[in-house]
Amino acid sequence: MTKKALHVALMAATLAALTAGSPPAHAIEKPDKDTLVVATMWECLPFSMEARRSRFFNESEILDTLVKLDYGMNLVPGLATAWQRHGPTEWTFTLRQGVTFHDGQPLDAEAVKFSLERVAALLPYAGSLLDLAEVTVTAPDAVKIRTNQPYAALPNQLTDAITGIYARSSFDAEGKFVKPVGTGPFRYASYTKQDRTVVERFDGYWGKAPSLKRVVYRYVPDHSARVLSLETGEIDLAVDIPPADVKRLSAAGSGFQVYREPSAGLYYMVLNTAEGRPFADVRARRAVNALIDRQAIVEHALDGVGKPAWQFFAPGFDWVPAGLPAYALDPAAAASTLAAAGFSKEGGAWTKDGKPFAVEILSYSSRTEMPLITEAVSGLLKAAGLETSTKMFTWPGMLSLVQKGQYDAYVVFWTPEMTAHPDLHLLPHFHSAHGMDYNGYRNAELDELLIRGRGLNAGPERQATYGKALTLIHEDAPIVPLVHKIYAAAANASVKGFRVHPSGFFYDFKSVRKD
Amino acid sequence: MKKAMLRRLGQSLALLVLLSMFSFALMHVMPGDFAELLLIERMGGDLPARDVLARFKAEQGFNDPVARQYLRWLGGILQGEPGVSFQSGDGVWAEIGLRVENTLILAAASIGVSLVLAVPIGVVAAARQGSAWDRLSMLLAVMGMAIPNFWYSLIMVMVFSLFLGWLPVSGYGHWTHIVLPALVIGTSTAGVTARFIRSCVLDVLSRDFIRTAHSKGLGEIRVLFGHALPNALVPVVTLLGLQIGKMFDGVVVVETIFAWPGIGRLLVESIFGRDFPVLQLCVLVVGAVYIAVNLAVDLLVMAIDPRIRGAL
Repeated sequence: MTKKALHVALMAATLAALTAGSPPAHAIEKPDKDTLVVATMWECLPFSMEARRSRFFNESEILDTLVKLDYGMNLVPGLATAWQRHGPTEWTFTLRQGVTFHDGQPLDAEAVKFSLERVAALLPYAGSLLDLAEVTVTAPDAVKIRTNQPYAALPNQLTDAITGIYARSSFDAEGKFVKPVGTGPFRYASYTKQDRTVVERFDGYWGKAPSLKRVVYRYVPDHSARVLSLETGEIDLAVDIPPADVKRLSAAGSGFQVYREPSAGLYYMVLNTAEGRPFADVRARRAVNALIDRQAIVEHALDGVGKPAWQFFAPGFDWVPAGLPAYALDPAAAASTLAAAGFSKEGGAWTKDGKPFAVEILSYSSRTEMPLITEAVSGLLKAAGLETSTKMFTWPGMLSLVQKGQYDAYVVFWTPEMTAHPDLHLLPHFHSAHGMDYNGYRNAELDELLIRGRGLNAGPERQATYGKALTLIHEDAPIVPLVHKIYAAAANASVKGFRVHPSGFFYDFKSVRKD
Repeated sequence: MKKAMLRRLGQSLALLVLLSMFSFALMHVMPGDFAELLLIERMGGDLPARDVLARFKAEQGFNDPVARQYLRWLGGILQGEPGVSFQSGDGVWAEIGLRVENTLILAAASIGVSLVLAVPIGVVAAARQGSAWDRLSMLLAVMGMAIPNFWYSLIMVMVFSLFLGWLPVSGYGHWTHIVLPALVIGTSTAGVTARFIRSCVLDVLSRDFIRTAHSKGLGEIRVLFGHALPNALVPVVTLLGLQIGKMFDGVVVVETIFAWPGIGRLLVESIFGRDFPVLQLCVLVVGAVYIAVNLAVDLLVMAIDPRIRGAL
């Protein structure tokens, strides 16, 4: 009996050793009042010169761009105080006076020319992104920019994070990148690979100085771990939090604040319009648009975090003309459209010439919400009498099938309003020469409108041109808009003054303070 | 003996060369055009026009015969320049070096935890079949296999970070960061290892020399740990070798939750991101680790068991 007791004691000791071999309390580092710790889903890479990843320089406001977007997605002065278009392809930008870089050097036109030419050189194959032909210094505080084609979206494109302005000291004598030195409210302090990037307040900032001394961007790739870090107090703010946690943290008395703001981003389904595919007939495309209950997708696939999308752009932009048609849920209209297209419903299933209306939907699983949305779309269409199936790939895996045209439909995510100009995504996705969606869609009238729109300044003519273009896209229905993205972030109660930027691409912590 | 070892080494090298060909071939087998994906990255995510893609392919040598591309890649690796990661823009060696280092740290810590638990539990379970220790080893083994690591990890985080406030949720660089991932992996493999040790020790316990040891009047502890365990070690060392190999590609979920920069996560990230320069070298490194661990296990087993020495 005593022997048994001894064994039990030994076992208990083993278990105790296992759990008590842990460090003492207070092993968790808690940020001080002047430091904001943010957990991000993607690693913030301050040394990456790869175009896409170098966005962080600007997003974290180490670098400024010439033009900026305010919270209403309107163009506002950044490092340029004024800009003017002198002809179809010629622009001048007047620079802000009295701006200094983090190294103490003044901002001048030479630095702007150097930075923009550098971006152009980094993107030798991406002509349409900036379309720069030449940057000329005309005065210490003025540059002239010439584009290859008439391009009214240039100021909008100059809000993009990749066009931030560097000081020369960002590079060594051989032109090799050393560290990001810019004019922003925060300056680069340190970087630990796979762990964190730290920026510090720059006291010589040209705008209103931030109240925070330091912002730490910690890389926490797992969604649940990000939220748990917020709950333990290790971090102050978690971005991209899962919908289920949005619900939980929003509950009264949770002690956390949850931000849910509309942000550039659309989930949509591309329909293959090629001959022989089920969506070759425009009536089938329109019917599908009227059959999918977007509200149901938002509620059941995204836990309510999203906004039903009935058109390509989120409403509210001045270039989305009032009265523009949008799709609406209308099963009755869909049924008569399908009947007109030669389909008939037998035993609850749509058929044509004895064959079922079968649709295979592709998507990719690297974005966690894609499988959920795709399954929801498939389920809703199945309930409406279509024979649907889904297939999940990695992004490149799906893309290789799509490019070969081996699909009926696929679900994707893009950010059509990112720089607040319709051209950025209308042209590549819907112009037949660009055909980024690989769905065989072409409309000569639309092509002409999209090219014309690109050269037009804001005003009634541009309004009318894009209004007509969006109407044509609505009628031809090459896509099914599904959900406008809602950007979700959460912070502890001490964080004050944070706002989600509607472009979804900026960490604006200038006006944030901690109590 | 020396000859046998040299032959074994030669085999390993030949295997490595085959592996390098295989990891290079991945680029051509996986769906998606390698050159196009590279160009998409360079262009900041935009899809290139067809004529631009053709120009890019010609300029970058993607139209060369595959054999020449392979030799160029291999040359790059041998000269220490295997390219740059699409994802981070850093050199591939820098990317992988960090991961290998951290994987080794995690492997050592978790296998340490696993052995501290498994050896006493396994040996005592063998000596006392059907006892509480035996049942504990069974419980650990079943739990280790049945509980998915993503759930177990989050439960551990909730207990040790959220409720007790002892350990940070995720990260690396401080010793406190290793505790939770090592506990998760260590305890979830301890059961299986304990059961394995138990059956090996049981096997040995029925041998004549154990009876002899008992009849010499040796105490039970001395018999179990001094005679039975060392003789049961050969298969256990082989199992540990397999577990070390698994640490290089099989603990991705744990690495992701704890933001531990291990090589398994890099492998998965590079597959999803089609980060070919990293992916190819990752496959090569993970393969090399398996080969090296197998070699080391063989050598170690020879050192432990004199009977095997001539067998290689």
